[in-house]
Amino acid sequence: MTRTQVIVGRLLLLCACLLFWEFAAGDLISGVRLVDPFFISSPSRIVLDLHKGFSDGILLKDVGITLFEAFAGLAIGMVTGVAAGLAFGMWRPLELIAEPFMAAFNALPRPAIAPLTVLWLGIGLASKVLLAWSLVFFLVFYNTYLGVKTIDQDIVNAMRVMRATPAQLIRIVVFPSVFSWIFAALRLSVSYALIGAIIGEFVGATAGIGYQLIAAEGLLQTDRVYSALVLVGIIAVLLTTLAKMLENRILKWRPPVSV
Amino acid sequence: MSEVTISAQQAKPAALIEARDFSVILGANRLVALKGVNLTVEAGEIVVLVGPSGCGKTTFLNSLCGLLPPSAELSGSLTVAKDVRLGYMPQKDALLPWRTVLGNVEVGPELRGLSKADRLAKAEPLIELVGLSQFRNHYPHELSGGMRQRVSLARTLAYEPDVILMDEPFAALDAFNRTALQEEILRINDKTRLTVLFITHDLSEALVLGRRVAVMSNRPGRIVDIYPVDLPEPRSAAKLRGTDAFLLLFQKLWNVLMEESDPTKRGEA
Ligand SMILES: Nc1ncnc2c1ncn2[C@@H]1O[C@H](COP(=O)(O)OP(=O)(O)OP(=O)(O)O)[C@@H](O)[C@H]1O
Ligand SMILES: [Mg+2]
Repeated sequence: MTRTQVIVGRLLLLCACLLFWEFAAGDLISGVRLVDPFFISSPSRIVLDLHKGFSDGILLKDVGITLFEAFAGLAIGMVTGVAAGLAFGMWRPLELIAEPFMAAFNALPRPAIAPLTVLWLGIGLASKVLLAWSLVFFLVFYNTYLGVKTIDQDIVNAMRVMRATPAQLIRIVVFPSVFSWIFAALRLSVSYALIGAIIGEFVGATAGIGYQLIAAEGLLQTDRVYSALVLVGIIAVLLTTLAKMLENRILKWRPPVSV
Repeated sequence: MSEVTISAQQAKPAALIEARDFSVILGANRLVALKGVNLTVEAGEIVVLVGPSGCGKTTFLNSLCGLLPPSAELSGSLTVAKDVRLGYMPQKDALLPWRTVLGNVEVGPELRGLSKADRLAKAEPLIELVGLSQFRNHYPHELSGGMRQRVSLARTLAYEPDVILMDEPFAALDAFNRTALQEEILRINDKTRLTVLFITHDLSEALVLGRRVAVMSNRPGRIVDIYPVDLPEPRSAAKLRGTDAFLLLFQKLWNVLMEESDPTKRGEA
């Protein structure tokens, strides 16, 4: 299929879904409805609510706060994850001793930890950053670690014959070859960071999209719940597309990967 | 590792590599890969090493490069002259896929700590020499096998090694590309005397390139004999092949090699 055909197809599918939703909620043909919009809202109601929310300035502020938390968690998670992944991949004793602990920590369910992070760091931004970090870190860590483990040994040998120092080996071989793994992690990390921040806001917060979601659910404001969800979806798509573009740009030495 | 010295000692002035009664035992099952190898490579000569598959040729190169597994047991002596830079060109090119042709060729000078300008000054003429100027900004995945091996050759030369170790570098290439690259090496050698230890299975390649051809025995490998190749200079891969002198030498080496490859003669130690 050509690129245009794919895009047109996607738009058609989206329109069909939205139309059916609008119809089911009874907002397309008055008098005909399948489900009470109290449960499922409807596209037109969501648009109205988003408009209202943004003109109040409330939603914009919340989006900003959630993005800030997610990006802080993402940045710290990337840096620490890459560092830990390199250390594990290149220093065998550390790998042997600490690997099971990493696996155990990674398996902890984040919603269960969320209340603890609030307990430790309070109701402010820090607890959400920590939660976002805890998701991003392990993803980046495992990708970097795998990246180091799968480095082409022939290349390493060629460099060693040319008397590469350990520092040169890291700069010229290790970093570039784990880069593709780190970037593969970046795309998923963006979504993970967002999820982490939002879960954190569920548990205890005074602002953020997650906070708006929970608050609206408490007040049975279905339209607001849906518009918050739509916002999260749009932000996630925008950010992962950005990450993907960055990846293709930076990894232009690879045979191009579609998707 | 045992008592062996893979050291940088001052050897006789001309011998850059000298193996004396050099043996290697590999792995947990203590396989004797090399037993009593005697071989010298002198400055400015191309020595070709031929031998049956699995006889330990790669093991010998790896010993020189320090690439044997830590479990390997070495004995005898293997000496690389003091301050000799070794270049290694493997069968499978080990190009950096994230670097362009230019970036790959620059890697040797870069590792030696040269400035950006100096690296470029070393790399550019070599890329030109192997005929890839138009491809200097291409990535390895955009090149054919023959072109990649050319880049690998340019990279090895750009490191300015005193001795170049080549392990069947053209084995994966088609006959046309192989001959072209052999010509390239001869051409470069006419300009700047190279010191090369070249491994191959291809006897005509051995005779085209080598000033001396060392024949290795079946495993455990040792040098059975060394044959001087007195063919007219300057050489040309295409022209040499049909000549009587060439065919005579070819036949002689072929017979020796057949004898050595005979499985019934295999003496396990
Ligand atoms: N790491 C290792 N551990 C144990 N045995 C090994 C190891 N590497 C190679 N060998 C064995 O050592 C012997 C010599 O191997 P080597 O690769 O040096 O042969 P070769 O002469 O280069 O063969 P070819 O011409 O096929 O490349 C072989 O029998 C091989 O099975
Ligand atoms: Mg070999």
